[in-house]
Amino acid sequence: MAIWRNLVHRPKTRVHRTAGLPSWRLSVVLLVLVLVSGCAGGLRYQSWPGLLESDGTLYAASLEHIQALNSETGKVYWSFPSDEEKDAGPFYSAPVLAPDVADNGLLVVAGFKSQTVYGLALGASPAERPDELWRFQGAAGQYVGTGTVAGDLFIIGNGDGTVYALSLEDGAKVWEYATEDRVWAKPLVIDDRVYMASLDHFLYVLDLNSGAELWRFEAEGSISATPVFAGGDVWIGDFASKLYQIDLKAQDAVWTFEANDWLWATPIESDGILYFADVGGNVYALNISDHTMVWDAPVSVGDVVHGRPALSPDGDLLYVAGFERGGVHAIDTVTGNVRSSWGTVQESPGRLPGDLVTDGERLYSMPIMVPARVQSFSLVSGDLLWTAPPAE
Amino acid sequence: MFDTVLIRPIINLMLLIYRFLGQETIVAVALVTLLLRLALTPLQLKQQKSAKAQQALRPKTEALQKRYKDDKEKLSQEQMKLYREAGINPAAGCLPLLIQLPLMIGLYQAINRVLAATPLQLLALPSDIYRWIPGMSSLIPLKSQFLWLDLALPDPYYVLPVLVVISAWYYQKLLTPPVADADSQTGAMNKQMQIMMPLMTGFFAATYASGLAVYFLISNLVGLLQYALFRREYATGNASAAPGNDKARKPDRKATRAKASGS
Repeated sequence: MAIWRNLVHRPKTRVHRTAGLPSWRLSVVLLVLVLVSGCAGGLRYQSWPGLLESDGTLYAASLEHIQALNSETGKVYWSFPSDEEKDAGPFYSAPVLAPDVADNGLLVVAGFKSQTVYGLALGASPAERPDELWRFQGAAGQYVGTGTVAGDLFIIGNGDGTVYALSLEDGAKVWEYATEDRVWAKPLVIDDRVYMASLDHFLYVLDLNSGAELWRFEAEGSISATPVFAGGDVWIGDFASKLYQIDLKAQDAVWTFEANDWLWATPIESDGILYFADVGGNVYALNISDHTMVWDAPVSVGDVVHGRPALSPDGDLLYVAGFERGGVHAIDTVTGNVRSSWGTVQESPGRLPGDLVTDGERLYSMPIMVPARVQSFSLVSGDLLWTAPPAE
Repeated sequence: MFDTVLIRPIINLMLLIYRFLGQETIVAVALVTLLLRLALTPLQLKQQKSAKAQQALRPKTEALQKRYKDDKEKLSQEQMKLYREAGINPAAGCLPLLIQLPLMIGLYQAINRVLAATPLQLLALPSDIYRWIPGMSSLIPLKSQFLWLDLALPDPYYVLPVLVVISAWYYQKLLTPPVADADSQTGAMNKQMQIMMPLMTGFFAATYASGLAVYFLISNLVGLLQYALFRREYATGNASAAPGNDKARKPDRKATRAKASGS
């Protein structure tokens, strides 16, 4: 009772003029609030930009726009939404193309903050601004992961922990499947089965047509990487630094490898070699047939890595994006040596969170925290070809 | 440096609490906030004691100011003499606050990083986790759902921000010393602070992750509890109730009792 009285009744005895709250204390309190708010980043939205290259056109989803650009020159054809309506962004999810839907194909992309999936009917020419065919707003969370087109469905995971299958025709929900945590991974679809990883540590295998769960695999850590199908098995890494080889018949891991750090980036496979990188910047080349490492030791690029690497058309070079220093590194796939002559030294390269994309001629990346939204490099020399918007 | 000394230990303490106490993020956030606030209690009391003692001396310092208004050097000497005789270090009130500040900012930052509302925020976390404690990476990301809340996102129904504003307003009201002339500059500033501070805190609680609103709320509630338990140490009104001035303190207690029984 005494405690309650202390809170309710304040002594109203002799009061004299005081200086009140000292001004230095007021300043300190305000300073704390400013520091706290400035460091939290709650009001600022960043983006985890994503790219798609198709027939000479780049589709880029970044901070507030989805843009179509000429792959060769970086010229921007159009932006969606217009400058007046910026509610769609920011975008973490990369655009996905459904070429057989609508007259000229459908571009599907999901907004992070808007919690909306947009279906954009492309025009007859790349320069023609698309029409919004539909939008899906049935999810309760933010979209981080990219979706996948499978038949007449668009499958995408959401921050509300649910996997949604939408009709590509009208964006209507066909089925949904709830996991226990946020879904940031892109689904993999093989033979009418959806392989979808969740931050709840599980890789779920769902029926493509009904969304019914067929089986699930529990990893030690959360999974944000997209599963990769290689050598008849599914390969996936987790935050507990484990890479799993999952046998689809046994519905379980038949081999596990422990990396030096979290496995966030989606691996890439070519000619029986699985290339993957951990967030500590160690890059590995694994022969999937006999589980031997191609290189004597993991190659360190000296930077955080979590974007999916890319390969040159002949498979000789592996390109890896460093997040914090914003550099792209070219690694000789045979020797594991970093090719120091490859690349362009930039004064302010920004950061590279997203996947690298190549069209066989050029390598594309999307930096953040710099004015340039898209960069194009020569695959052979690493020379910077253009940036969009162009550097001043 | 700040990361190594402060933020990382708090993050890992939070992860350990999460791991061993039911894997509930809200429990980890609330408990770490509570522990830190309780650990800071002696410092806060020291600060309040110093403020209260200075407040008790104010009539004398004001008299000195009047007497030596044209001789600042003499005024300074006399004030220091007064403080020395009363056994008060004028800087003592400032030091505890300076120690508390980094701790509170560190706690705020740790909560923000652990909740990791976006992948970019989560990406910063691997370097903050003590790998020498087995199984820590497997805990990430922490479960963010609690009742209607996603602790990594703002409260959609504004329940927490409202509670934060109310508790912050009351805490502010209790801490602000009354002034004789409410219309004076000081009085106006105090009034403004009583409104602005809770509103600003409420704005942050409504805008940022609701886990941070939990931190604000627990902080305010611990502050209120501290006030309730140690009210006599707080410089909130009765200037004559200075430390060591028992005669002056007694009427205050009587007045409070009389008021309580009368209500």
